[in-house]
Order: sequence, then C-alpha cells, then structure tokens
Amino acid sequence: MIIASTLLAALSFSCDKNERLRDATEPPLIDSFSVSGADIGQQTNNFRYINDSTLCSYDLINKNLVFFQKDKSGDYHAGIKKEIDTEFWSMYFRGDDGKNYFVDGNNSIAEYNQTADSLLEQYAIPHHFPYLKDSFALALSNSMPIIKIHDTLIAVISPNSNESLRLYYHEQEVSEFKFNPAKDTISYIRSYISKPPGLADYDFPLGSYAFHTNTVFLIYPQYDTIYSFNRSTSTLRKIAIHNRDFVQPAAFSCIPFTPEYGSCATRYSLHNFRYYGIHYNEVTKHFLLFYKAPVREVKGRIASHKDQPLQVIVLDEQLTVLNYYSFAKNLEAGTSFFMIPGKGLAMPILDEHYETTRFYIYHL
Amino acid sequence: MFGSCRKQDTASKEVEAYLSEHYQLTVNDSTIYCFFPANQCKNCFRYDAAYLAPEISEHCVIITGYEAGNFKGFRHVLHDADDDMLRLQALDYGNRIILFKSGNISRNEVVTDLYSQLGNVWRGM
Repeated sequence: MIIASTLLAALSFSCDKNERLRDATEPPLIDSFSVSGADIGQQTNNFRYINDSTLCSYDLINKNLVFFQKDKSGDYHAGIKKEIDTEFWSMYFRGDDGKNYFVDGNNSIAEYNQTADSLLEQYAIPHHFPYLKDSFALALSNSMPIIKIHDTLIAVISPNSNESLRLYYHEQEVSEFKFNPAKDTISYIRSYISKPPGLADYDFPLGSYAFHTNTVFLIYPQYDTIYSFNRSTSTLRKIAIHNRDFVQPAAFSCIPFTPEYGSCATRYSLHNFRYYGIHYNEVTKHFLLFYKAPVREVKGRIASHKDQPLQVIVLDEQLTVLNYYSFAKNLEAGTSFFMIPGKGLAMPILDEHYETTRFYIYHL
Repeated sequence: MFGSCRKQDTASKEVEAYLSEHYQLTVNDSTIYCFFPANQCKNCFRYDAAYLAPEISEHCVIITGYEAGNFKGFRHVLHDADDDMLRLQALDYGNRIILFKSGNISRNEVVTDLYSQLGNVWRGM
C-alpha cells in the first residue's frame, strides 16, 4: 500500500506540467548559414525571405536594397544592389504581395515592384491624427513590423521631430491605414490597444506585435500580458502569461542623448526583465515569446550581455505555455529574425556583425 | 624592496588582466586608456585624431567594441569584438578614460567631451 502510494506520488510528480517546464533547454537547431558581402551590422538591415535562393535587406546607409543569393554550400552572398532614392530616415517593409515599400522622413511611402526595378506609386500620409497635432513617423523594427495586407497598412506611429525619432515612448497605439492608389494617399482608419498608462513616460516600451487570424497580438517589455485585438469583431483581450521568470522591472529613468545614456541603458537591460518580441510561427502554429531575465553578477564579476541568454516561451494558438527554451548562443534579440517557410526561425548571432554574420535556424 | 609590495585594488586588477589577456599589454603610467564598449548606436559618433595634438593621440590607446573606422587617425585602436570590456567594473558599462599610477587606476572618468578631456589629462600627466 505504502509502495503503491509512493509510486503514484512519484508518477504524478514526474507528469506535473510545471515541473516538466522547469528546465529550459536549447531549442532544436536545424541548420545554420552565413550571409556576407554587405554591412550586416546596420540595425536597419532587416532581412526578408523571398525564396529559398534569395534573401534581401535594406542598407539604410548606402540606400541600397541588397539581394543575397544562395551558393552551393547553402551560404548567402550579396549580389544585386538596387539604389533607392529616399531620405535618411527611410524604413523598409515588404507587403503580402511581395512588393517593396520605403517610408521616408516626410511620411511618404514609395511602392516598388518585387525586384525593386521600378517605382509604382508614391503615397502621401495625412498629418492630422486624433492624438498627434504635428507630424509623425511610422515606427519600425523587426519585432514591431509594418504589415501590409491587401490595401490595409498596420503600423505604430510616433511623433516626428529631431529628437523623437528615437524616443519610442511616444508611441501610442497600433494604427490602421488604407491605401488609396487612385489619389496617391493613405487614409487613417482607426487605432487600438492603447499604451498602458504606466508606460506613458518611460523608454523601452517598444511594443512588439504579431499578426495571425486577423488579430493583432501585442506585448510590452514590462508586462507579463499579451494584448490581442481581433480586427473583425473589434474585441480586445488581455491574457496573463505567468512566465516563471518574470520579475516586475524597475522604471526606466535613463536620459537619452546624455553621455551616460549608454551605460545607464546597458545596466538597466541587464538588471531588469524584458520581453523582446512576439512572433507567430506559421509552420508549427506556435507563438514565440522572446525575453531576457535579469542578471547582476556572475562568479563574483559584474554581468555583461553574454551572461544574459535570450530565452523563449513557446505557446499554442490558445496562448497556453508549451515549453521554455534558452539559447546557448549569443543571439540577437528582437531584430533581424526571419522565418524560413517549411524550415524554422533564422536568428543571427550577436557578435559577428560587420561583413559577415551567421544565422542559426531553430525549430520552435 | 617596498616597491614589490604594491597593493592593487580589484578594479585595477581587472583592467590590467583584461589588457594583458586580450592584447598582451602591460599597463603603464604614460598611456591614456580610452574604453568605448559597443553598447551605443555605432553610427552616432566618430572621433578624429586630427583634433588632438599628435603627442596626445600617440599616447592614447583606444579599446573599443566598434570598428576602427569610428576612430579616424588614431594609431592604437584595439578591437574588442565580443565586448568583453563590459565585464570590467571600472567601466560601469560606459565610455571611460582611465589612467594608471603604480599599477592602480589613478583617474577614471566618463567620456563627455573626448578632445578636451584628453587635453586636460595630458596636461596633468
């Protein structure tokens, strides 16, 4: 009797879901490849997958859309470069139709064909918004994408001034726009998922969102919550994640454009929990939630970013936690990921950033 | 005899070990060590040795996580691609000018205006 109950207890212990999730392991690595021949280190060099033999990225400094071709060994090399004549603060995204879009500092969007050979349209975005009296800019990062589906644009906007292009804490809400090719304009439709009031004055609130089944899934770095907005039903939901590593972060008080900003921001990011992005993997039908847990000291020495591995939670489509993983390699967090259909998520390593970098493909 | 009994604080030991392990450099009192970890926007700054007297830049060692191109004309630029310097408590994750005296850090200041700071440091050496 005692033996049987002990065995039962042991079985129930080993089957306990929370216990199973306790040990974060390295996610399954499928493959790796290198990309070379362009200044990979530019933050704006967001890679896009075109097909198995071609990647592309926008070199903001040299104003080129660079196409990378795959060689026999599986590595990619810069090939054709298409010069794009846009202003300095230009951003790049691809639509669901494979066309190339560039946003300039005056909030005009240039639409190029798939090979970026010819300019198809030039759209102007109106400057009158309910909550922005002056001009504004579309804000873009890989984890906070600009999405174009048919004639709809989904993006986050922030005020456009000399300083605020980097002050993303002015971002308000996810906004929707509509392309009007006949008038060469883009009109404002609506905004949703207001920024939580607690974030109003803080930097590092780079909300990250993913798009799936006509729904925007958004996460803020400091909150253990996913906000979802269904575009069809206009329903907003808040879903608690209950990340086992979550620790409420301190307020971010570093002052931009000061000599101490870099050290202050580094110290903050090492000492505080932060979500880096949410992605939807269409291959596995999983949501991926990237984060870094706080670290202060390692073996009696102060910690550096090498001591703070990128971690990921895998969730199913109902946003139930399936697994925790921790990356042993020092991978770039939140930027320059891209999905390779049928294979997995390609992620660049942080330390090789100039002429060549290596991407690792994980099944997640 | 007493000279061999120098006491070194932890922060100084760390910097000395870092320079020795990474670049086989022995710290000395006549070199100005400038640390620039790559934790800021790499396109946001660029220093040119032409703005300094040649004798100052000659005595300057730049240790940086950025490319040498950010430091035009400096003869001694050491690249720390992995940003290992971020572990040094003396830097406190920031850009620093560090001087040594008898094996210990004698001056450690945040870089605010590199050219004038180097001028001041040089005059005090």
